Amino acid sequence: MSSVSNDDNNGNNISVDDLIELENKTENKTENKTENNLENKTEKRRNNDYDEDEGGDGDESDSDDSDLKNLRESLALSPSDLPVDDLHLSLPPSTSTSSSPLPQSHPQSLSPSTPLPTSPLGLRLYTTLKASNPSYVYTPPLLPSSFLNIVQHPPELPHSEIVRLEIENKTPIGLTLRVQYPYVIVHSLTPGGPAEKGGVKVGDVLFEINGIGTNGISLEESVKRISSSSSHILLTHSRLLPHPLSLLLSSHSLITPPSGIEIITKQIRIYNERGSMFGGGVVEVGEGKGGEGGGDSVPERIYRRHYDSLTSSFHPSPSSSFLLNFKHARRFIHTTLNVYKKEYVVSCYDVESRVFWNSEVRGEEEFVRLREELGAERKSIFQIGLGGKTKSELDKFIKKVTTLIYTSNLHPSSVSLLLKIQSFLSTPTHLPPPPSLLLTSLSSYTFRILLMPVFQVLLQNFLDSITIPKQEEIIVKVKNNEREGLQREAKRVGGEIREFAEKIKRLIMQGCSSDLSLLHSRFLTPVSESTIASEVYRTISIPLYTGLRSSISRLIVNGYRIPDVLILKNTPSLKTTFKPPKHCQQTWSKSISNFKNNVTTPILPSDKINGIISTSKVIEKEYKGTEHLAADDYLPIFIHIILEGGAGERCYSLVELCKIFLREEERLGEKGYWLATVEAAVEFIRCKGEEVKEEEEEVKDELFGKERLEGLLAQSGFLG
Amino acid sequence: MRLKVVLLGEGRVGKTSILFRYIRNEFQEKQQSTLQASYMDKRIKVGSVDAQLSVWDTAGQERFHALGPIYYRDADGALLVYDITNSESFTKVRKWVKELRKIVGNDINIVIAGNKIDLERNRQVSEAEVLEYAKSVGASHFYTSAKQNLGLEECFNELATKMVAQNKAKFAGGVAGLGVPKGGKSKLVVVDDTGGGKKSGGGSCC
Repeated sequence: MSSVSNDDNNGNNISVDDLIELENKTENKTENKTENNLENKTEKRRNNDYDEDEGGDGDESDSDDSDLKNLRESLALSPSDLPVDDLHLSLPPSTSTSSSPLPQSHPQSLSPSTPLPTSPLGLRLYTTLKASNPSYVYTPPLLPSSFLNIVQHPPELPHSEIVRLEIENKTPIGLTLRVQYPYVIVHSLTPGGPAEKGGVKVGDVLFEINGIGTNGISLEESVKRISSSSSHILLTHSRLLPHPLSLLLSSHSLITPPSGIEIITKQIRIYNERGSMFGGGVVEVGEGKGGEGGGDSVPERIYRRHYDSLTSSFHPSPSSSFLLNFKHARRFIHTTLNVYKKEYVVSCYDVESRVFWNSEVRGEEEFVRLREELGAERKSIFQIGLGGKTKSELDKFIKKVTTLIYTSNLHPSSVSLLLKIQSFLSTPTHLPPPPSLLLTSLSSYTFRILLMPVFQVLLQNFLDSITIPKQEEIIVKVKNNEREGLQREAKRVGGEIREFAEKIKRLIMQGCSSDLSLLHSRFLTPVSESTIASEVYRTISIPLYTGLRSSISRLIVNGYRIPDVLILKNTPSLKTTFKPPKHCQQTWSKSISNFKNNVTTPILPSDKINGIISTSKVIEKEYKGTEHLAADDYLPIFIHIILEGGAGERCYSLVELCKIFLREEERLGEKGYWLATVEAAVEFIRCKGEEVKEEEEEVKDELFGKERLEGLLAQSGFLG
Repeated sequence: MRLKVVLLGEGRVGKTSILFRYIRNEFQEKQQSTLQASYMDKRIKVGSVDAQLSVWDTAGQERFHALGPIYYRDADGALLVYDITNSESFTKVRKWVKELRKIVGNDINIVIAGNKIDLERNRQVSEAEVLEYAKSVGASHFYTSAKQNLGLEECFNELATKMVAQNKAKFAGGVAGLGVPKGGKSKLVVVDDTGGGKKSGGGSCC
């Protein structure tokens, strides 16, 4: 109930917002959904000519909404659904202090305003999705060390370079800059100017100017920095494409400090943006040889303590903050309750690595119950003295919580939250989380990698680079009946997307293999690598496909207009004559609705393909006969499903779309098989089992005849 | 090495039973369980090669005949099943062979299985005719019985051996068998060979 409604206001809309943005960029025009029947559409077309501006179509917004909703659901990405955080949180061993697994590659990297001692961890990227709302601060995963290895010893990729430009007395260095937040990019070069001579190229990203990071600075600022230099300018730059990884080399300058927590000498100020009435948490502190001024002292022992904001200095003002008096605090897990919104916010902060995340806890009732059930345990934690041996007791506590969460039927986000906490406290996991969580974790993990600026730029560049026939070109092709050309284009564009996604997938799979296997190892049920791969691939294709979806649909729908129309024509008569084998003659209503919901409706082609498999399983369940279901039966059943409207009115296009996005390695396997079955079913309806040359001509004539251009252009039409 | 095997044969010659028996070692006269048996994976070792057979069952009814190519494109091998007690089903085999050769080409390995050998006494298809035919089209022939579990291993092993040998030959000299997309088949490999015959110098990752 409340948890459901919370789902909507909470983190989920982040991903959606993000996707909307993506969508808006490439898709200013809304599209028609397939729901309209043909005649209806033709009529509209008559009025609209082939103008794409279909503001009058009532169902558009619906379709977009539902598209987004689907995407949102499929993404299921919310701050509290990100168990992957534990991965990067756990990266530096919990008790390790300054020893870092990463080489100290960037000694003077942090921006001067940072009050913290320089972190030795070279690479840390923060992405702020919604800067206005601090609770939505995402910390993408720290790049795992294996990824770093690739980065630092890139097999074929060049490092970023430092260019030293000697200049005489403020002569112009011959370059213009543009800011593509958060990057400063070389926009143009003066031929023969110092910059060009120095090896700077258009499109290079400047990471540093005179040793100072450029992340997020304004254009004016960057120009000022360059022009204020009198004798020489050092530019650290890197090529954007096709060497994405080289960007990471200088990514230290991309660090933005976490918001929400601030270090004021030995005290931690925690902001409670939501006017919390309750707050408390666990803090891990190091005690020992605390150097006062050194900054890089190494605490000898690590303790964990529970603190309660009621007992700390706490200012209960709406935007309250309070100070904690822990010396050498290393990490915090802090819980606050927003009494108005009835939700908990759990924040974790790692002082040393400055990793910060917070997440709303949905399913508040469960959380409250959890707290109640933990009453006794909690009490004992409150009683723990500050100097006591807290570690083992806290571990016990966490274990207890773990057991409780796993054994009671809690909201999934509680589980993922727990995974984070466990990992944060380095409490080993021994209990299996629900299997579905793995996929969620994988997609969250991947998605967060994609949120890193470098990948954002990469994706955007790809989207920008891909050439798609314009609306006018499509019209011309349709007029000239060059539908094959459209089909080829659809295959080409789709193929490019598939390959690019495949590339990124490989990059992530290789670079993050240790993370992924860590994630994997938390699950007792074995999950094949191909499952991981396809989940990663799926997540990657979300931003890619969303951006280009309408263009691809337009190509496919127009390219395969004739078979689609033929199928519509053939359906009524086949419906009465076609019968599945005797033992399979039933209504198959569940299978039909499953097909609708899981194949026709979803947006991502890979989801559609998976949907076909799920329908095959529903068929198996719904089947009332006693003989084995075999290929002899499945094909007629799928034909039945499609005849009954399960695949909508553009089933031929639907199949073609799926075929384009079926990955090579899946082609011969189960997915390929079931897709082939649906393809065969659609083909059967198209040709009624016979040769169809004549009919095809007829349809062509019809499309060219009286309705000619109006009906011709099968308009936009999402295959969604 | 992933290999696609397509099961072809007229309706009710026992394709599904063969699949069930071979993959799961089950046979039910009165098939009660309703487990699906139309696509199955089987790992098999051919010499030193680990092969994964993806076995695709197809709809055998005449009315679906024209849809065959959708199923057998990209196939490395085909197991054509007929029922020795049904001469019509063997006629169908001839049709399939012709079609496969025409559409997929000579690359596809064909094994013919005369099923229901346990019903020898009702035989209607002459052995001599079958063997001569098989030889003439370069196919191997086996008698099988899903019911008595006869001849199935041999059938699939023969097919797998042929397919593996062919694939090896295809990929020999190729830069790497791994990255070569299956769909493109031999043509693609040829292009690879002539294009960058030496070791992959760069850009091989994508």
